[in-house]
Amino acid sequence: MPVMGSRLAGPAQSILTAATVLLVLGAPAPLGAAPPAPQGKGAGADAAGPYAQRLASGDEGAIRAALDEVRIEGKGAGSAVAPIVELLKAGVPTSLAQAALETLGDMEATSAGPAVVLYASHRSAAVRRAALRTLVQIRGDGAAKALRKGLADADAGVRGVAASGLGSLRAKEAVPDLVRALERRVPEAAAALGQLCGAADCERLVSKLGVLPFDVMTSGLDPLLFRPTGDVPDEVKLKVLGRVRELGTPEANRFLRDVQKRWPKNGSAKVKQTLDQAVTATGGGS
Amino acid sequence: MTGRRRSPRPAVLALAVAPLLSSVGCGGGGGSGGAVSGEAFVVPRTDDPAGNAECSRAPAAVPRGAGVVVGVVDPQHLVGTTLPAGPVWKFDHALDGRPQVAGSVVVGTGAGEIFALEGSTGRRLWAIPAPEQTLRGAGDDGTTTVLTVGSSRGGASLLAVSRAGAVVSRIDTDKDLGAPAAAGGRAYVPWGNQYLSVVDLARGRELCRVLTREKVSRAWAEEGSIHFGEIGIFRMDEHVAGAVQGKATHVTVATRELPGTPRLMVPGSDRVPVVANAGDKVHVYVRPAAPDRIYATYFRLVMGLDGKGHPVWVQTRADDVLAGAAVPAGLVTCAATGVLEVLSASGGAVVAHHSLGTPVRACVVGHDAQVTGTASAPPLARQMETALLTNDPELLAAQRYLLKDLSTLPDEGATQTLLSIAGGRQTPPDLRREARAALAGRRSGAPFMLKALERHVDFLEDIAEPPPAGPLAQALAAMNEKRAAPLLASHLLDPSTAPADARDVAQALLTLGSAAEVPALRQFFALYRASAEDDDTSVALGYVAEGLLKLGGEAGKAQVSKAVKDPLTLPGVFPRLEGALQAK
Repeated sequence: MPVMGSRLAGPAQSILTAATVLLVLGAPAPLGAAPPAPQGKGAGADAAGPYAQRLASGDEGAIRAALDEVRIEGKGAGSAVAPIVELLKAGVPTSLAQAALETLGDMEATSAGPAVVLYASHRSAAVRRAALRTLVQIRGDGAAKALRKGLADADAGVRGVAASGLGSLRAKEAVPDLVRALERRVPEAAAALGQLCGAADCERLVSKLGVLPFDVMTSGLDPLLFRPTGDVPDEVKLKVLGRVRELGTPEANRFLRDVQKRWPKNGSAKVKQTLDQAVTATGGGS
Repeated sequence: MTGRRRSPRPAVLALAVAPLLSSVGCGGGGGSGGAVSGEAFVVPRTDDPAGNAECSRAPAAVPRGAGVVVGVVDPQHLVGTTLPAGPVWKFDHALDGRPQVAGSVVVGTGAGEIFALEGSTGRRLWAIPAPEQTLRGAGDDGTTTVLTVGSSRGGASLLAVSRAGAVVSRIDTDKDLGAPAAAGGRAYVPWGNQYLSVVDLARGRELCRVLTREKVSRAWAEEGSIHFGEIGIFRMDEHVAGAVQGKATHVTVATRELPGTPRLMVPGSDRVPVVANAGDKVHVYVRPAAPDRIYATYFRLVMGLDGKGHPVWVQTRADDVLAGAAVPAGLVTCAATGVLEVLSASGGAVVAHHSLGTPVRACVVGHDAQVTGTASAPPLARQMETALLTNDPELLAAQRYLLKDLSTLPDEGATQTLLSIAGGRQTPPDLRREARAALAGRRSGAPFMLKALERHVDFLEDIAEPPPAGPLAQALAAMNEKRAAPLLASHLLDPSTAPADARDVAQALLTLGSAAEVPALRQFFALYRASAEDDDTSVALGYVAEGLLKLGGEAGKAQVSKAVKDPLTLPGVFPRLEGALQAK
């Protein structure tokens, strides 16, 4: 039986999910009760205001229209966060779920995290992808954990969103999972690793040169090269440049030249020198 | 093939030497000038009680076979050996039919002649011309070989040929003769599908006749006795005269409904092609002396069956088995690779092996191979797992047959095997479906089921298939296995769980669930009461609503009640929720 590694799955996941559900779903509000007090920006005594009634109407068209308006208003419609969360907690059709999740993402509604996490295990892969994207946007509680679980998802799109999201969240604890994802050819894991890897894991990333498509590799090598020296030692960057130089292909030269153009003036001189040499060496005499 | 009807013309004779097969035996080997011509196979026979008494006398000096195996490399080349470890010989001769093994002799036909070889060396013993004849069968008593041959012009002949190649006796007939046996100067000849005549070769005279009510077309010597039959097996002993009353010593082979409807024997009057066909690969073997162990081959599967036809072992070989013979040690098999194996009667383990040294396109295994040896084999459930997980479309029918038996085995190992089949990536869909159904009916092996439920689809761990959560839920609920509840709850929420499985999981949680599973029920309810995309999920929502009402306290009841009044709840879900509320 395979080991699940550090990620949570099976009964453990179930227990945590159960705890989350208790916290998120809580006791449902009785029918006809006033909408819950709004939270977030702009929340005030009457701030349930322009959207709450429509969001709780049970009318799919009205809800969709309200969500559209909230998205246009953006963060300014903070009073809508709570009713949208209630909507998700009670359950909505799939298309409304996606719209609600995207709206919360656009609003960067951090407090919506636990409700959004529930949708990261929806049967619809589109909903799962939307939930993970939202978690990255709102940087809510449980986001990194849900994204790590998403790396193991059966849907390639979900895995891609999860890998990219872990990079965006700077979730260094996910690096081992990202390495495995890269080895299992999740291309988005390369970029995430380029943002997060420590010296050893960066070398594992570099070792995939020639194994994975070059454009996939550059999506990880590019951010790696531009990370501060304190984060990624120059020795690692020199290895990267050396390996790319060894490829000697036109596309390697294009990549190196692109990095050369963007190399910061205050960047490592040693790396710059190696970069220049690599550009020349792969230039094919041009 | 003639039927069982008696001839309406008693006067028709069946004997005669002459013109019918006049070309047989002329000029070959030692010649046929001194051949005794005789009379036999006349219907009706003028019975004489003394003659019938002769049939009830056990044959004297029935020769033991020599464990001869002969393989057809191609229609021009033969190889052969003797078990357990004789030298391999080769013999080149055109073949127009499958060679026969008669005791220690190999008899073949081709290029207008019938020839005999010494089975242990391949040395040519004799040949007689037979330009228009088809060899049907051969027997040998150690000094004389008896043959039945059919003519392209109709009719058949019984020939007795000495070691020197002389045709010492010949009876021509218009009757349909089957494959004969020989012992002590007598030929045992099945004919007309219902008779067996004993013929005195020296006098060319029919000594006695046995009438049966079952199709018989082959006779052979095995383990010191003469047997005959086709559908079943009769033994020539003191009871044989009672065959027509069902009082003879007789073996009926209980093959149940074996895949491919295998035959115990090819009809003795059929021409057997040089190269093996499906009928050779799908076959049944049994020792008349031990009918409680039956062997069946199905391409590259070999099964040992009990007297009722249930598998007691199954071996999966690398290549198709083309021929075999049941011996006291077990089953001798001859594979297309030329590999010869003896699989033990008890467990199917290989107790001895030998090789013809080259791939063969057909094979014939003689009786009475003297092989001994012991070896242990894995338990039946493990053997079945190997057979069932073999990805070979040709085996599907046999695999389905085995699966039926596997599901009835009470031991926990059978559950484990069913889990492997149900979750096997290479398992054919039909087999997977049947394995799932079998799992739902299991009432043993709960630890294996719980272990299986710990697994979830995990791309990083290369787990692409979820466990069969639905069937396991049914089985575990029937076993009231409460430990399954949290595992089932985790599968209820797993998006990789198929809707039909989620339905069965939800139902099982009604039996097995506790307050600990309420959060999972609430989450499932919230996620899908407005977005269920199929009937199974709608049904699952009904069970989940029942679970919330049963286990979820006031909060659970409120969640269901609210959903009933919410227009977003899917129309197909409403009645199930209302039903749950009313039942509560």
